[in-house]
Amino acid sequence: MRAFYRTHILTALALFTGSSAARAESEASVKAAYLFNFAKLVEWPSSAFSSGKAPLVIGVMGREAVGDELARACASATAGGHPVEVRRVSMSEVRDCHLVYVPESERGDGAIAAAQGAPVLVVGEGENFARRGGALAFVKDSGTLKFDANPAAAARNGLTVSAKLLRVARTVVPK
Amino acid sequence: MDTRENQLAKSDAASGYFRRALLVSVFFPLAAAFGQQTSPHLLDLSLEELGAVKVDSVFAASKFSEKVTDAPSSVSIVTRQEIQQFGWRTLAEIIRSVRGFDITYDRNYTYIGVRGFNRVGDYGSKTLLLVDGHRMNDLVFDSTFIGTEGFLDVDTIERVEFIRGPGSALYGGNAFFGVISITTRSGADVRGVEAVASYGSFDTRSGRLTFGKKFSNGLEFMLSGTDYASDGPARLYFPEFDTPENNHGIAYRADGDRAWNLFGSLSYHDFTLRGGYVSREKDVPTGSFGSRPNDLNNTLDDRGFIELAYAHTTENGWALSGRASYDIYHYQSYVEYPLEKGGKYVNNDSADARWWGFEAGASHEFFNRFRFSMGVEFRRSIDLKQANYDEKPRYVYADVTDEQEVFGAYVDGNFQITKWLKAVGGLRYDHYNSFGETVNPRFGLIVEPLKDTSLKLLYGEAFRAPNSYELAYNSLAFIGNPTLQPERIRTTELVAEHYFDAHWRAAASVFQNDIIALITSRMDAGGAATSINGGDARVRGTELEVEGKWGGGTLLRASYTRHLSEDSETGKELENSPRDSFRAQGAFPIFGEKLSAGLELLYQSDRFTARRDRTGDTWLVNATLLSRELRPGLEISASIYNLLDDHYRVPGGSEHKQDRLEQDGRTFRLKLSYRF
Repeated sequence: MRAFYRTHILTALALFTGSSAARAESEASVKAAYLFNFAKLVEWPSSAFSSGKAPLVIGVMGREAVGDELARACASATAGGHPVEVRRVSMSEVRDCHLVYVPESERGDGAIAAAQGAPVLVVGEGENFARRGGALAFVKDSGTLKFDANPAAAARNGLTVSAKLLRVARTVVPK
Repeated sequence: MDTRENQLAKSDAASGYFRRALLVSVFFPLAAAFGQQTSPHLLDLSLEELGAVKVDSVFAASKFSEKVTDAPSSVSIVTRQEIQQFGWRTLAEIIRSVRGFDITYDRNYTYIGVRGFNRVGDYGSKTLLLVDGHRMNDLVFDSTFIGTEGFLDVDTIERVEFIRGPGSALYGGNAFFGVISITTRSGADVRGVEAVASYGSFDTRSGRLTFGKKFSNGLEFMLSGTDYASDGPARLYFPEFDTPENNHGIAYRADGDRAWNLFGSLSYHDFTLRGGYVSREKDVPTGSFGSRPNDLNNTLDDRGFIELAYAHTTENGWALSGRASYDIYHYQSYVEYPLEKGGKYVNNDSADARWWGFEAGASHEFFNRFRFSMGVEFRRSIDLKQANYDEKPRYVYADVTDEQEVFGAYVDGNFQITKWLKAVGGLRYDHYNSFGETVNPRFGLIVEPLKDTSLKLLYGEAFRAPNSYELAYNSLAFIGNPTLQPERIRTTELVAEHYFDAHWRAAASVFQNDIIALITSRMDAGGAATSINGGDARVRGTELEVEGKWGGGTLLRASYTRHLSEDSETGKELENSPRDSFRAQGAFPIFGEKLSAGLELLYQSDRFTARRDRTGDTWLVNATLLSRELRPGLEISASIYNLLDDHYRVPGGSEHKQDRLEQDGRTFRLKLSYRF
């Protein structure tokens, strides 16, 4: 009989496990989800891909947990028909990416400069990143994570930020 | 029986994972969880929904960054934005705004009380105060400096984390009722120069200069200095001193306060050099220690530290940290007493401590499910002296040299058993040269039974070691007790937190604190005081809080706490233990960023004084108008404190003739800040 009850309890536990969803999330996983959305809602020129099947490369600088979360989440995902590939990159590899995420620990200005003129979307951190020429930047707002956008900076690299993305942005840096 | 089990198993067979979990979990419940991944559903959320997900995180609860709802404690966080919005002037004012914390100001120092416990004379020693992870409680009295003697200008604070409950399993001594952990602003945050001047009631003036920058090569620095002075109320009336020789109880121009501080940090990649110094000189108007209110009575407190800290995350995800630090604390008091044959003499009381400390820690998350942390800490005094003597005619009452050596080591872990169940546990071993060893554990279960709801069942033990004053000080009137043992606490707590939507959040706590072998001052047969491990106490409490936050700086928060305390020996309510507290805070933009208002209501019920009188209840209303970016870089803040002009009273300690000490009525402050 004991075995029977134990099994009952375990079944209940197992069912519960499947039904619950988390409410507050780690910052890294929310950023990863945002980055994936950015990849889907920004338009790259076709010249940025060697072929229609070529991967969309998301580069993560530094050793942030965002990279692991993103790699896990995007394992078999596609954006604009391109398979998503997540890499850890250094400053010299910025131009090999379509989207590069620059955490606070890395040189934001350096990445913006390195990506200049190439079809690379530079996503950084903080109130001033977009104002300084980054295309998108994460900002904290009342315990939630939002983003600022600088569509003009993206346009200078040949990228189009969709209206949907701009509508949700906390602040859109004027031209 | 077999068939039933098979049926049950079959009903779950839709998911192979569940069946595996079911079978494996009998023998090895932990293994089931490894296959799961964190939050794949986040990818399914819309951008709007992502923007509403809470990412509040806390560091000090476990010595790594985790979600507030995942932390094995009841946690509150105060941010720089709130400090500005509510016009808080000292750490003490920040602390009293937080549910479960209160303060007592005796017109010299300000003492932290937690959850219905703030025995007069405790010097706030049962709370651990950290500045960027550095332990601030001094080595002589264990005191935490939170008033104008506080280590930092509150405008250089980025955030303050309040971790309620016993923290000795991670932090060792003093983390008795809780841990208050301050993070200072970074150079990148300051980004330039800030010049601030303020003026307020009682001719209180203060100036601050802060520089900060982060260079593209990764070098970052912040340097801030503040100078502060206040004349204090020109006249303070103490009925206990209402005699002709004491100016009919009026202390005239006897409440002056002067302080300056410097704080700086310099970071390059994984290394940070950090240090600061505060010096405060306070005129004590209360006639403490048998003096007279209009005679000389002042204290000087200097506190400083410098440290080199290291933090590094390896390629394979190990978070490593370490620090080496050097601390000083200097206290000096001059008190004038009348000589029998006329004239006066000055008694000089002092303490000098210098110590160094080392810390190292490592933390790693295995299989995305199991977080393991460990660390060691070593602290040793270089100098630990206390002295008391009369100047002219010189007579030495006390000249004591002591030493302190502390070693601690901890392990701590948490295991995500299933998506909705997490177990946490840890323990720390500490060895003190004075009393020997102590081991303090903590355990907890964190359950997320529903979406947006978290329940925490927590148990922990903590201690405060007898300090150098209690162990070693020897004079005519006080005899140290080298056989003292640590005072201890055992806490059981149930915490519930719920997020209603993107804006509203509620938290509730029910707890019981069993406090054992309190270090208490007693008179011995010869009429001298000494410290003994005497007296147990129990505090039971309920805390409720609702909070709403919206973009643009709108904040609404209300909390109610009920704490029932009891001295186990007498069955009586503890002194300075407010039964009921109510707090409400609201911040509202009026013209967007240009003008906003912060309103605060703090209520505390009647408390017993040390001599079993009552204080009466306290109603405090504080209001601040804040204007930002009226011109680029300009910020103006105007505050009125104690708007209702409630001349509330707090219990006085045994060094005071006054059983109750009246507090300031309505005051104001105007602050101008310019950044360029």
